Amino acid sequence: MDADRPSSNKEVDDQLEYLFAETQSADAGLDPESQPGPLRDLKAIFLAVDWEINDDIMNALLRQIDALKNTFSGDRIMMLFLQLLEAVGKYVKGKKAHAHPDAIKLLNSIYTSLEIVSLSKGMTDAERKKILRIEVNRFQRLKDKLARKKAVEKAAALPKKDAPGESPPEEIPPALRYVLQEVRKVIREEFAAFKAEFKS
Amino acid sequence: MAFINLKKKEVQAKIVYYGPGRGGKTTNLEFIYKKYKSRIPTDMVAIKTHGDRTLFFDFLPFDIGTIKGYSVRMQLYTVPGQVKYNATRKLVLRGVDGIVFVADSMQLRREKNVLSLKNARENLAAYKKDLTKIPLVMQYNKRDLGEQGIPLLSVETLQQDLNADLNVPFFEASALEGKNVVETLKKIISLTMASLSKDLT
Amino acid sequence: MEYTLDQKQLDEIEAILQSDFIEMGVHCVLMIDMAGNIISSLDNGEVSFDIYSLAALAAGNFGAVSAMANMVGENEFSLLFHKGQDENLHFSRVTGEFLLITIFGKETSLGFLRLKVAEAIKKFETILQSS
Repeated sequence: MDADRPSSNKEVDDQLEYLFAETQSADAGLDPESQPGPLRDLKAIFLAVDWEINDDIMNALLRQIDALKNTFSGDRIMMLFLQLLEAVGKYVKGKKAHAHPDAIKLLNSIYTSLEIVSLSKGMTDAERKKILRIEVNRFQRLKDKLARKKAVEKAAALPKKDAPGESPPEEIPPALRYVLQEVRKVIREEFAAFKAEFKS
Repeated sequence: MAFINLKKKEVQAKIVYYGPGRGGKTTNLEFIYKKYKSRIPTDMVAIKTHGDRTLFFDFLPFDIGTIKGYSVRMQLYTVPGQVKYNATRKLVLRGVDGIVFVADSMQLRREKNVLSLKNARENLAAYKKDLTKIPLVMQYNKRDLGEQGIPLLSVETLQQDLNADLNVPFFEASALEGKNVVETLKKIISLTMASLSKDLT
Repeated sequence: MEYTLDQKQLDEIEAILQSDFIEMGVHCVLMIDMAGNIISSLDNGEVSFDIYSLAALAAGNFGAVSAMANMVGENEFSLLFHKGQDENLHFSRVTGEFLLITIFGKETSLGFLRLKVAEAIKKFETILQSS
């Protein structure tokens, strides 16, 4: 699932343990409930989403993401996490019962990673990026699945017009497409800068 | 409310053993379970209190094979006999297709039998069902106790008390020894199937 | 109280159980009537439950919970859910006479399952009303 790098770092591995134990909340030091402020509210909303998905709760989620964007406006990686969360949140809100089941899993997994990244003290940017990249990859996989599904449905609806391979871009909700492009662009830039820094 | 699955050619019907507390309803099911274990793929389900009394119901699914091209599964239930459990007793009656009334032959229990039958009538009425119309078999249980010198009601008295108006088939039985347990079951299945047969084509 | 479902209705019900529940990752799904008879059932091929006993207990349990709701002045409780270590149970009434039971693991979100159930119930109602 995760994109392994040969030089895996124990600290990152430990974080990944948290990340993949999706139902377990992090330990006391990482528990947003012990922290005041907007992250705790976000956690409360996520607990509500666990029980029920409706417009009220999804709107509360999107509002809270907006609030957090202000809080973390100076933190690029957090901003990317929030954009990912927003994109998937909007998709789930729009699609409801017709959403892909993986989207719900992704929503939870992005949140778990965001929580780890925002609450772990002493995590380097490289480690934070690595966790972000895992979520971006998952996002990408979901996007591909949605595109494939749509292509299959289209092919079924129009049996003459076969279009295998590349999936047309309009299958992705515009919000998702935009955020994905942004996320990839920023990650590319960040990594380029990081490499340059490393060489010099 | 039997369910007839025309697709799978399957009939599921619900038979409820009714009667006063400690009358031997669960013992009937236990005997059936022991005797036909090979045809009952699952364990008998029993929801009991600490004192081993039925709290909610006992449940035994019983495959009786193919009748008229339909695979027939009888779901056997008992109700809790104790008076205080009427709420759950009523729930078990929901959707019932056939009833075995297990009466206690002991003289001591004469009034309890009558009250329990009256209670059955009322609870069925809540589901707009009529005790005089639903497939019903009387079982006068614990006939074996007479040999131990325990005073029993005569069959005539039991018939007079319980079956004078209803006039349904009855059996003298000993659930503990298994006497007439199977005969009672066969009779209620046959009556139930007969009442369902209008729906089986 | 009496009802019969024809082949077409049963096929449609089963198709919904497959597409809306099994394909989203639910382990086992049952449609039963309030007497505890099984109308239709499907599983993912990896679990094997005693569905007949489950159906009998579910119908009894649902009846008991409804009776409790009435006692506290509620018409019915909107969420009937039992959470376990590995398996969870969710019950939902379909019209007045049927009950949908889903058994699912922790990989499935309850919030999402409830959405799917609400959606499926609408479809079931259309199918059942045609009888």
